[in-house]
Amino acid sequence: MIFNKLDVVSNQEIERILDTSYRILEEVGFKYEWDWALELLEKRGCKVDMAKQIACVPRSLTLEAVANMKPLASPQDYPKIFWAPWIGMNIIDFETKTKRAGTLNDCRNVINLVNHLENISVSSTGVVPQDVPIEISDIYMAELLFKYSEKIVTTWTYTIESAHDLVEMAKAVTGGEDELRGSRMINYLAEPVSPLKLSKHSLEIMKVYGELDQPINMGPMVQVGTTGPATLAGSVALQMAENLAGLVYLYCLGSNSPMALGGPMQTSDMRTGRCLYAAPELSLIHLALVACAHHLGFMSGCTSGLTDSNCMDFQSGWDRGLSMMLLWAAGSESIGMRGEIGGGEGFCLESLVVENEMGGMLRVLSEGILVNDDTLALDVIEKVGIGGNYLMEKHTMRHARDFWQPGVFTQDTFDKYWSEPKPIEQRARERVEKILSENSLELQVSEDIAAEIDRIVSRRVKAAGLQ
Amino acid sequence: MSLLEKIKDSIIEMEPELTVELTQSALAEGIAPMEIVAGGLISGIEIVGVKFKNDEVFLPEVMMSAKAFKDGFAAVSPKLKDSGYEPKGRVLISSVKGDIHDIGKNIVIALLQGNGYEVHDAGVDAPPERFVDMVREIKPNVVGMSALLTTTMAFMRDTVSALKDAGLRDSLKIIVGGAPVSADFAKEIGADGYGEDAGEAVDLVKSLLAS
Repeated sequence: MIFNKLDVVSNQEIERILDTSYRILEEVGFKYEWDWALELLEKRGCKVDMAKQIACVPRSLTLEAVANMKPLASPQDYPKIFWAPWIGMNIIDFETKTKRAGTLNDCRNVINLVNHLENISVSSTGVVPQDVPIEISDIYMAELLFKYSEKIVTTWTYTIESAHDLVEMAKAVTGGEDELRGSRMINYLAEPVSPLKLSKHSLEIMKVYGELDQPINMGPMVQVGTTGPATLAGSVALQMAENLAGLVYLYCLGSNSPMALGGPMQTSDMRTGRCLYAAPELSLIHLALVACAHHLGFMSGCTSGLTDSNCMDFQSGWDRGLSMMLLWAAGSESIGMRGEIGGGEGFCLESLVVENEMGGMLRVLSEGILVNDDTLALDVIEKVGIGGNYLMEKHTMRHARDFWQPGVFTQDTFDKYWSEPKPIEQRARERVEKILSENSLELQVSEDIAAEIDRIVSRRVKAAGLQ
Repeated sequence: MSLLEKIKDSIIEMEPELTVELTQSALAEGIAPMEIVAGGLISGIEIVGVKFKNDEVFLPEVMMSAKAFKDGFAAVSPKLKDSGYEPKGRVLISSVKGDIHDIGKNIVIALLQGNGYEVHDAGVDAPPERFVDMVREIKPNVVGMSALLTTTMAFMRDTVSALKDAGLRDSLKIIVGGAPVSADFAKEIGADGYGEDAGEAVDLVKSLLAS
């Protein structure tokens, strides 16, 4: 298969965007809100204003960091990574059409569901549990993911204390520090505060994970028109500058963390300033970010599969499908399976099931058309000749199950469908219920490791003086 | 066109420098400061407010009009002291402890100022004690708290408690906003209201102070 990538920017334009990013870091600088980090950067040739906590990063250092840091996955890696990393505050209840605060039980359900959704490769808890002290809810999310997820996980780390606890849990799971180094247990999303700042706690957490070579996804969220210029190219340049600021810091730390660049940029509703989750401009900027990340030799970690719609309607399908399809066509290694609904209002299990189905279609597209003697099938065409059919041919028997099959999408006839109509959300609900009722959450680690994880959680709860 | 009409138009046309220039001219011509505020500055920003609600002007435009109002008001305010003018209300606002995000809070400040409220900005990463100290000093009618992070929204509850412990809670209204915050959360922590966006925050302040 010859895969022609969708490009929205030429090589020359990518270089111009990145040149602007290098200039932003060198001429405007970047605020690293931790003196320790600033001293480190100063030693590596950055011009530092300690009072303002701003480091101006010379282009030569940025280029050196780009040349020496490793990508999380090689560009154009297949199969693509299908994420389910949306972690919202609320769960959308399909039955009552209401949103409510996420609970530990919701987290368990999301992990169980993702374990059984065949097209999703990375798991999360979907929501932040709020029936535990919210200050340490990150510990509870990590506990559940490390114990019960059958897949790679991604989660949040709020504080340096949590980072140390997550490392201890990950060491328990992998067997020790050396084993952890070779693993991809903790996928940290480092989030600069746009424009051009990294908080002390983010820098501290990056240091902990960076020194253990854990994967780090840079996730700045420049919002076009509010925390970034109102033009797409300028905001992409700013977003890449913030990506590179994190990359330079990790390089100066001596980290071998594999990295993904890109991040969940946002456009704005310029009438109100509200972040938008789906818009044509949003897809354009993410396509440009994929191109910039690939140009630098890094895997792209961009957002797709989101919607501003509040229900599973045509808009929801179009928003998700358009952004996922475009990123797929641009060769992005990661495609969003988000479960998000209503412009970030909450996580919806039924929506994740529908997106899983869309991911299955994209997987088939990624396989392309195989052209060889068997697939050209001249022998069988000659055998059947004119006017026959191919149904009973051995060749057909061999390939009859090669085709994509719907799970919750319908291919029924009009009359059959309307004799017992079931909208997509109902079919998705049935699949959610079937998976959750037929599968209990099974420990993926030994009883001893689970006990060790529980001990770490209990210790933290006690230390925080919380119940 | 009268000078007051021109001041009004300069606000609608988002020209802060012109608003200041015209306000100074009006003062030099002996127009009463209260008349400049009511007939020029407030007339202009009220029209912008209606247009904003009707989606006829966009957020950056309304913020620029608000700046024109604020700058014009700053030019006339030294002369207002003896005229009995009172702002619509006094608001203290800040991002809470641990949160250094400020874009949402800054938009709310601009719109409140543009609507005639006196706003005191406590900045970002404000611990409960800073709120308590500033409430004692400023005596606001409303305290606004902003948080973007799941972790920092917990400090909204602590701030409400700190204001209660200091005996200040009953003298003011508390409002909250930010991406992870909801109306239910506001109720749960004992706040008086939640604004989904900056425009709603202004309406909320208006309705709370009216009640």
